Order: sequence, then C-alpha cells, then structure tokens
Amino acid sequence: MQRWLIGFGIGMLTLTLAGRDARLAADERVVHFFQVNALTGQSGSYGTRSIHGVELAAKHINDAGGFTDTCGNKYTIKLSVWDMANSREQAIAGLRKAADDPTVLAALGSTPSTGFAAMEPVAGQVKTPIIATGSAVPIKKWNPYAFRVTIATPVAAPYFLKQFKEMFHPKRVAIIYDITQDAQRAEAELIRDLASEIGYEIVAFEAFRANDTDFRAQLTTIKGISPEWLGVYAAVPEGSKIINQMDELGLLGKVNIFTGYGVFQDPTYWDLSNGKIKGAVNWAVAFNLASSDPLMQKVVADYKSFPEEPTIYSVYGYQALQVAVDAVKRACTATDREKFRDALAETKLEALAGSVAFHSPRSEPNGENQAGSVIISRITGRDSYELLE
Amino acid sequence: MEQFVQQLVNGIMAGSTYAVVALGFGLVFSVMRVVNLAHPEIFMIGAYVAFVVITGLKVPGQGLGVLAAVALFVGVLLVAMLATGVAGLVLERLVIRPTRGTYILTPFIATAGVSIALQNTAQRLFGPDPVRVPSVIPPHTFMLSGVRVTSMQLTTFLTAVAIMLALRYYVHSTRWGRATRAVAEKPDVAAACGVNVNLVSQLTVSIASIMAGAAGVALGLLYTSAAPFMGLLFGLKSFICMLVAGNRHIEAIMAVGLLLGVVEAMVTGYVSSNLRDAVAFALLLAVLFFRPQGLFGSYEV
Amino acid sequence: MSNSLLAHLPAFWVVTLITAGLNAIITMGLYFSNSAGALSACHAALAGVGAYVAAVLTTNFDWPFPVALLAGTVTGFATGMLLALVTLRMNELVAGLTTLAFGETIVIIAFNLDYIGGANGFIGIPLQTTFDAVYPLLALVVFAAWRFDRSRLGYAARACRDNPHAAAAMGINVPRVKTLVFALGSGIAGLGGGLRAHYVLVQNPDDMGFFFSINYLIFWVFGGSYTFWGPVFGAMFLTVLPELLRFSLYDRFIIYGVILTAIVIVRLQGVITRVPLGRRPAFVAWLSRLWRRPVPSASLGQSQGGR
Repeated sequence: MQRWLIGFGIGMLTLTLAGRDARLAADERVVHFFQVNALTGQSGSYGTRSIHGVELAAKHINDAGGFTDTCGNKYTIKLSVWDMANSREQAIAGLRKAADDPTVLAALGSTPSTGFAAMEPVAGQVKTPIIATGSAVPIKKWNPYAFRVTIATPVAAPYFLKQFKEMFHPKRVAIIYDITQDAQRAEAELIRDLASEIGYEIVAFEAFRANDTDFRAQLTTIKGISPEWLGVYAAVPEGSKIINQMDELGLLGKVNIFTGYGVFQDPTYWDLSNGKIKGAVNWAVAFNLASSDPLMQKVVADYKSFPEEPTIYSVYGYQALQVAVDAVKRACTATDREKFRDALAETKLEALAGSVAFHSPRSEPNGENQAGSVIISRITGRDSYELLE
Repeated sequence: MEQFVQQLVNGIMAGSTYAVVALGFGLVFSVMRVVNLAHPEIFMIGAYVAFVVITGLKVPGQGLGVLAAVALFVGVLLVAMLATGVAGLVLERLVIRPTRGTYILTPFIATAGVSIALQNTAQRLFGPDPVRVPSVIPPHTFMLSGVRVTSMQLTTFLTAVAIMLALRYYVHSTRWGRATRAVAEKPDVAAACGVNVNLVSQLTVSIASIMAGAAGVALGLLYTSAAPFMGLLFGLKSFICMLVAGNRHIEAIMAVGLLLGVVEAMVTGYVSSNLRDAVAFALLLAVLFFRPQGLFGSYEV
Repeated sequence: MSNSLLAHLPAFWVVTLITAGLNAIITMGLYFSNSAGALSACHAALAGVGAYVAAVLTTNFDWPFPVALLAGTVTGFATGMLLALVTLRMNELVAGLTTLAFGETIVIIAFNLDYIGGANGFIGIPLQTTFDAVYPLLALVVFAAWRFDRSRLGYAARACRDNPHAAAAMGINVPRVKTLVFALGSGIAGLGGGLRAHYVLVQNPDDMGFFFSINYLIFWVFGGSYTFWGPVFGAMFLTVLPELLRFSLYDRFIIYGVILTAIVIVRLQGVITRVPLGRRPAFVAWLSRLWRRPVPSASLGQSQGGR
C-alpha cells in the first residue's frame, strides 16, 4: 500500500515535471492560436463545429501560402485544441495554458457559455486576448482582452422585433423558452419586456429545462390560448421535439413560429423535425449556406471533410479566425499580445457572414460585436430560406 | 374541459415514458439493492440500436401497411433487446457482481463509471448531435372529441404496459421469478435454501437491461431521435419514480410513473411551467415524509 | 496572480491542482457529514449555498474575503443543521433520498431567485482564491479531521454509524451527535464552495445539482470512506486523472470511466483504507504526549478499517 502510494507520487511528479513545456523560442513567422472549446460532453456538438470552422479557415489561409501583414511579414497559422468538456475549471486551465505559452498569440473560444463566462475574467488577469465563438451570456463588466463575434440578443432582438411588427403586425404572441440557457432566456425575457413598447401582447410565457423531452403540457396550454405567433426558444434537440409535438397536437397549422439566433437554419433541425419548420421565421447572422458568395460556397464544399454539417457555430469559428488574422495584419506581430489586442479592439471587417466590428478602448472595454448584420428569413427548405429583410 | 382531458392524456403518455425506464431500474434495485446507474445508458444503447437497424435497412418512413409496420417494430425491438440483454449480462458479470452486497454506494459508483464511458463512447461513435430515428409506426393522430393522441404515444404506453405485465408474469408465475422474490426479501435465507443467488442476480440484470432496450426503441421512435446524453433526464425521473413506488410491487412503479406524468402535466398547465421539475422532487419529499416505505409499501422500512 | 510556492509549475497544472484542492475540501465535508451514518446526496448544493452567500457578500457588499468565507461556512453549517434535523428520525436510505430532494429544491430556488442571478448565475465575483489560500485551508481541514477522528465526538459519531441503539445505550446523545457532525460537514462544504466561487468567478445553480453531488460521492467512496485520507486522495486523483488523459483528445472520458470502474472493482473498500504511514512515527507519538490526553494504544492509526 505504501509502495503503491509512493509510486503514484513519483509518477505524478514525473508527469508534472514532464508537463513543463519546452519553452519554444517565439517564432515570428508562425502565429499560434489556441482553441479552448467543448469537444466532449453535452455541448460537444457546438464546440466541435466551432473548432472545425477555425480549422477550415486556417487551412484555407495556409493552403494559399499563408498571409502577409501590412508591414510585409509573411505568416502561417498554427492551431492547438484544448477540450473543456463542459467544465468551467477545465476552461480556465486551458486559458492559463495558452497564456503560459509565449508562442500563443490569442485563444479562440469557447462556444458554450459555461466556458466563456469563466474565461472572460481570466483573460483580463492573464492578459491574453480571447475571441469567443458563440456564447451569448450577459457580461457585467468587460475587460479589455475579451471579445466575441456572436451577435447577442440586446443588439439583434430589438431590431428583429421592430421589423417583425412592421412586417407581420402581430397581436397575440406566445413564447416557449428554455429557462436554463442564457441566450434563449434572455431573448424570451426581452421579447416579453418590450411587449408594450412595440405593441403586441404576450399571451403565454411557458418555460422548460434543457434535456426535457415532453412539452405537450406547455403546448396544450398555449393551444388553449390560441396565439397568432409562437416564439420557440430552444436548442436543436428540444426545439425539434417541440415542433414535432406541436404537429401532433394540431398546433402547427394554427400558429406561426419564430425564433432567434438562426437556429431554424440548422439542417439538423430540419431533419429532426421532419421538415415541419418550413415557413417559420427567424433572425440570424447574415449567413446563408446556399449563398452565391464564392467564399461561402468554398467553405460549404470544403466542410464536407468533417463528419458533421456546418451550422452557425462553424461560421462563428471561421469568422473568429478571420477576425484574428485581420488583427495580426494590422498589428504586425505574431507574439505581442498587447499590440494584437489594440488592433483587435478597432476591428472593422467584412467576414464570412456579415460584418464584425469591435470598439473596445482600454478605458471602456466592450467586447461585443457592434456591427453584426442581422437578417430576417423564412425557412423554405433544408438548406434554403427566403430573405425577408 | 377538453384542455383538461388533453393535459390528462399528455400526462399519462409522458408518465409512461418515465415508467418504461423506471421498471427495469426498480427491478434491479428491489431485488439486489443495487442502483444501476448504467441503466439509462443501456436504454440509450437500445435507442441507438434502433437507429442503426432502421437506417441500415433503409426502411421508408411512410407508406408501410399497418401489419408490416408492426412486424418491423417488433423486429427492431427484438434486435435491440438482444443487444441490451447481452450488454446487461456483461455489465452484471464484470461490474455488478464483484461490487454488490458490500456497501450500497460501491456498485453505484462503479456503474457511474460505466455510464460515463458509455455516454462518451456513444458520442464518439455517433457524433455529438442527436441522430434521426425514422419512425416505423405510421404516424397517425387519433382524435377523440378534440383530444389528440398519436399512434407512437399509444405504442409507448402499450410497451410500458407490456413490460410491466411481462415482469409481473416473470416475478409471480415462473420458478426463477419466485427465486428472485426470495432473494429480494431475504438473500441469506434464499441462498441457504439452495437458490443460486449469482444466477438470480444475472437474470435480474439481464431482464432489466432487456426492458431498457425495449424502452430505448419505444422512446427513440417516439421522439424520432437518439442522443448520447438522452439517458440523463430519464435516469433521474425514473430513479425518483422507483424510490417513491417502494419495493413491493412492480406495478407500483408503473402507477407512480403515470402519476408523476399526470401531476407534472397538471402543474405545468395550470400553475406554472417553471415548476415542472420541482414536482418530481416535491412528490418525493412528500412521500418520504408521510410514507417512507414508499407509496405502495416495501419489504423493509 | 502569483503562486509563490509554485512559480515553476506550468500554469494550467496550478489550475488543476487548485481545482483538486477545492474538490478535496468539499469531499472532506462529505467525510464529516457521513461519519455518523448519514448519506449526503446534496453536498454540491450545500457548497453552493456557502458559495452564493460568500459571493454576494464580497461582490455586492464589499466584505473582506476571509469574513465572507466565514459567513459562507456558517450558512453551510446552518443549512446542514436544518437538513440534519429534518432527517433525524428517518431510516438511512430515506434520509439519503431526502438529502437528494433537498439539494434539488435548493437548485430550483436558486434558479428562481433573480437577486442572485437566477439561471444566469451570479457573475462578477472578485478573484480571491489562490493556491496559497486553498492548500493551507485544506491542510487545516485535514488536521481537523485527524483530530476529529481521535476525539470523543469522532468516536461517538462512528458509534452512531455502526450501531445507533448500542450507542444510545452507552449514553451517547445520538440525535445531537448526528446533527452536529452533519452540520460540521456542511460548513466545510460551504467553505469549499465559497473558495470555488472566488476562483471560477461565476456561480450557477447548475453547478449545485445532483450530478455534481454524485461526483463528490464518487470521490469519497473511491478514495476510501474509512479514513480521512480517502476523500482527499479520491478527490485529487479523480480531478487530476482527466488532465493526465489529455493525450487522447476525444476518448478522454471513455478511458476515465473505464479506469474509475476498474479501480472501484479492484479496491471495493476504497483505495485508501488505513492511514498510509503505517505505524505512528515517533515524532507524532511525541506530539500526542505533549497534548497529555489519554492516548489509546499504538494500534489506533492502523485498524480504523473494518465496518
């Protein structure tokens, strides 16, 4: 027993010392981005897509021979991946590891809010810029080093609601939302709070929790109230079940459906709901997988090398790398994090799916994407939609 | 009034989804005092087997005659039950048998380790997204004066009833069932009377796993999806059903499952949807206070 | 964030060690709570209560960190005492289930309280926990466990666990001992929770759920529920193990699950069943003589196993 323990202790010590990274001489020609995201665990589907989006962007750039900055230096991109498995502590550990490695310029991620909410303050402590690829968790006080390419509810939803009112003149609106997910809940609450201001009435406000499978009780209540519009704020697994159960209860033909974050444009949503979301409306980041934009077509084509289909999170990942590369071009460095952060803070870029702009001076940091273009679309097919606005 | 009946029906159908997983869970717990945390994952295996079989056979989703559909459903059920039965056998031999009888938590955490491994294996094999399980039962909604029930919901309910009846028959009317009951009440005396406790243990876990496989097929088709972490929610709710129902009667678990479903539906519909998950725990607390031996009694308090 | 003791270690190992230390503290709380025969399936919730209290006090009211931490500990203690009083007359299994329901109730309450952030969680907590805060506190808790084991309260608790009727016949006030011991464990959990909140800087109701309580139970049983070294070892080993397995990007947790199950099967009684140093070292014996308490014979350290 004693020997067992001593052996274990020696093993631990060896691994610990072995884990001390050989401090690489910082190479000006290779810019190293460190991805902290969820590969396993319940948020695995989002994190994996984001990671693949980043990898695809890096591949496109590296295959073209790298990129050149405004000072004439040529770079190639190197990526590392750290799995945070839905645990805040592992997300922090990943960021600390990135910060510790002088070859890493910035961290990309994370997509799940458990990760980003924990990483955002740490970014400020370790002075390592991070660019989040999909979290929409409300941040009380930004530090100068955290950014996100996501379009968050406070920016998009009011715009959507105004257009929505002008286009459809809704009177009776019901909402069913996931109370455990901050993005869905924040938007549901915003829609409820803006009801009198914009001029519609919230007739039902039903909640459920992540991993729930049966929504008939809530849907029966909603059916009894006969709204005109129903906002379905759920992630793909729950949302597809909601749509199916709406159909079974006879609700699908009677209401119009809307949601946010471009969720309905996810092909998995179409598959799992057997195409019943045809005709539903959502606001989304201006990305259209079937667009005629040559870059988007190239992305969709090359994404086939990955086992899953691209969705908004893949796009966010791609954009995050584009934004990072653009900042490196302006900052003329692959290792100076401060210069990189200052360049990043003044980003104005036309990325894969619309514009990304940051305005984050050190005195008043704000890592939100100020310019995201929001479109409102109606779903017409598995990968196609009709642009309404 | 129609809404009330609809909510009632919703509740019964939802309750049958809990019951269908809880029955196997409860069997293992009442016979062997072992909480098999891997049971929801075996249920998940059943759903994935259904996915593999149905998509592998390239079955068309619609357009099957009723008889063909039922035959196909039973076929898929049998394959899944075989797969999960084998999984249960392996689980019992490798994990449960060495750990049972010592301390109530040891098999709990051993099966917890197995469940972690199984969830991640499923994620690795099938991807982190839910996969679409085409339903073989022709989707048909039955309407009775405005109250709607779908064919798949009815199938799930009937599956739960079938499982319950099968278990009841096993426990009451077969020789091994009697041996199982003997082991459940007093394992030492049963062993002294010549019952092969190891064999009973193996049978129990296998049967529970077979039931889990059937449940997985039913629920995979009901929700037309299978996901690596689908066991989690059902696991917790079924666990509570099993605790509230007590050890004595297998039918009790089904009754409690239906009760839970109905109460949840009523609370969600008429009070507030925020409180839905609180219902299960409130029910548990109430039963623990007023009838600690379980709603329907148990072998020991 | 300077970690004076470990400036030479890679930073992410420091994070892992701090996390391991935090888990160890909470698992030690579980050790205390369960030493009188209770089974706490809600320790993550108790830790969460302490975490919320400490976090709200430092963030909204600017209390100094040690005082807020103390407040969190006291709140955990009080909550644990309440829970213990409620489950006093219940049979073991039923009491354990009541703790489960209690924990989930706390989670639901936290979800619905907007003051502490509701489902968004409480954010903006100042960073106060460093390695130098966690490990000395862990050492303190371990020391307290060591003294507890040898104290009258510890003996009484073990007596209540093994045979409550005999214990009562011997004059031990079983309800009082059980309540006190459970509350002590909950207080320590509150301490660990407060520390964690000031490390991760976000406190979410989800982090208090049944799933995390099971994790602590796993650490406790895996490590060995007989001695106080068991929970420490279990928590640290199982926290560090997924990090050691990072060579396998996708299959980490499959290997983790297999290793966990395998070790549990091989060591049914937990990995650590005796105080690992065998005979009491002479130095320790000399120290105890300084205390001048009647010290039982030298076999005290070894044979604490056996249930």
